[in-house]
Amino acid sequence: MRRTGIAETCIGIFILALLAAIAGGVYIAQSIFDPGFYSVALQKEGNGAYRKNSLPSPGSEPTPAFLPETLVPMGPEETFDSGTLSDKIDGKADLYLSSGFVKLSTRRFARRDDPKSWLELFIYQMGDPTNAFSVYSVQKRKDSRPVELGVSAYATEDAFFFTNGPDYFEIVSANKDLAEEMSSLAKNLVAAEPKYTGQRTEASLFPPESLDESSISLHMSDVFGFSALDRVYTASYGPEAARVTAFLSQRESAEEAAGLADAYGRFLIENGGEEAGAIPGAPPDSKVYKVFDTYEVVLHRGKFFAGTHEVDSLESATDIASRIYRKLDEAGR
Amino acid sequence: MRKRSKDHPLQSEMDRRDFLIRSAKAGLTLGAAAALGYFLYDPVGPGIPVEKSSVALPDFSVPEAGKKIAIATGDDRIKTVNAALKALGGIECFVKKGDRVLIKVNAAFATPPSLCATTNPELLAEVTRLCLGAGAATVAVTDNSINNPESCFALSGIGDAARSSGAHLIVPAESLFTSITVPGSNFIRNWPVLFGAFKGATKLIGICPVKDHHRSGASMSMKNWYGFIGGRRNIFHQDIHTFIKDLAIMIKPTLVILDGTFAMISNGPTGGSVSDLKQTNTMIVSTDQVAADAVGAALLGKTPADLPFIAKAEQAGAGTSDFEALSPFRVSTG
Repeated sequence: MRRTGIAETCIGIFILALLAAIAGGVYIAQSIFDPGFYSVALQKEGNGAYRKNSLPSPGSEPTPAFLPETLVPMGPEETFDSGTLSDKIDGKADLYLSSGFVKLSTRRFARRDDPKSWLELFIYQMGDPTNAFSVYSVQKRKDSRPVELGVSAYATEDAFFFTNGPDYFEIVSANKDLAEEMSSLAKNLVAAEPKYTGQRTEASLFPPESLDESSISLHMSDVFGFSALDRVYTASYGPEAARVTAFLSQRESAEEAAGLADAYGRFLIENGGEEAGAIPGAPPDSKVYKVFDTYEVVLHRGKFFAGTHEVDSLESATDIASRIYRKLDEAGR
Repeated sequence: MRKRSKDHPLQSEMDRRDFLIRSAKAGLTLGAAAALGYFLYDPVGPGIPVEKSSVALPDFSVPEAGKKIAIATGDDRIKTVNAALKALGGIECFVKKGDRVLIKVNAAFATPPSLCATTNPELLAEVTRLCLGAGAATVAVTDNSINNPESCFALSGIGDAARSSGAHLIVPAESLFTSITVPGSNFIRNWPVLFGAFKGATKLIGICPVKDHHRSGASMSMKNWYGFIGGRRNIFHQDIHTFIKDLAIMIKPTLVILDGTFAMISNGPTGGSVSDLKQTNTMIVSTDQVAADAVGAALLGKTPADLPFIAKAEQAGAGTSDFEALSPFRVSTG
């Protein structure tokens, strides 16, 4: 075999050293963390996920029939079931899951002439109108104004909230100047479905005098922190400075209503309350509790469990409770 | 044959045996190079998961800085965060030249900045600029969002704010998660954590808004670390207070910045309207995350006792709820 020359050996060693240096460089380079590596998806304008979720691309997505002319979809509809709802709304999922939640559909829309003005539509399918009213009512914003849609509805300066039949709707805008678009979208959504005119519930048994009708809410579980208390309507009476919260719930039987009143009374005592004894003006079948500095009247009449909750004034607490009792009495006859 | 040899003198000296030996050597060299390439090949890229028994999250606190808290009031986030940091001695007390800073934002939702459900982008940009101005080599921003990460970073304004101020975004790729066990934790046991985002980081700053939370009562500094958790993390909502305590003992930050300029006082953690917000004009900057949350509770009309996770975190040694014991620096920006 021919022996290699010095030149050949030197060239061979040089090439091997170069390869080793390249391998070492690659090894070192890949072990250094580069945050930019993980932001490529956001930096590339053409990235599908980025465009789909941020900027409208008119004509690329089917347009729903209820969409006003001035809006275009920013991307496809997303849907969530009970197993994935928290992927969209995190900790607030419990509120819906405890109220019969079936499915959530969401979609973002932007102004055709201004892609940076956008809103998001949430449609919660809640199974039945009572469930839908519950999630609508317990989240009601204080600084809101009623909206005439023919269904239960209100608006804030950047959002619309309404319920129609078994569905609860939210339209949340990124800009405060989208009121017109939100209004048109809400009207179209209501028009697209049979208008739900409401059903008679025990909420209609709240005495109307000084009642704030917009305050009526339906709480589905763990009401007032008591785990056995569910499906309770609450309503506010009187001026803001002297608000009285009343509650009312129809149970399966008179026995259940009476048993619940007893159990709730025990719960109050376990949590620092005490029986106030016989109070003049208190309604029949009731007990008055003093819980720290507030009063609680708990009563039952027929299948109804009712009362007043955390009222500063004993007189106001018993007055409203008595009116509720009389109303229930009339309804029972 | 002999004639061709004269034309090609090198070939003339190679016999059959020589050819086979050289071919075998060349083959061995190629095989060795391929084997070396295969051995060195990283199929996942930076942030590759490593064995859970060999990892632990670093302690990012600055011992010489001690436990401090500053509470700045005012309606301008840029002014209040600067005032609070100045009261603590300046960002230079916490970020040194060459530091690689990781900022954990709340980018949980693809919602507009106006809802204050996510970290305010202007605040993020300012803190990034301050870190770079103090000599930080890099600033990276991350969160394992609840909604699609790309849309969260884009629609919350956090993506643009990070880029414009010179920070890198770390999108929570699958490969960045590693299952780890946090000693003393009830739930973070062999559970995926965004471990890859910490690689190379020398300082950690949490920036988040003050929010109501339907399950935990509040979402503040300690709850913000939830965004380091992977997997089906919603199961931890069943015992959310204990889980937030676990987060507090897992993360030892350099600083937390709790933005209470607007507090989401109802319908949290997503909100849904500016009507869910209350202007509370407060910026809290602290080296003690428990103390920061104790101050933040008041912005939601609550006391630390109303939020069981604060007491749990304190008992676990993550900080103190008695923020007055830290002699807070109180500054007003007018």
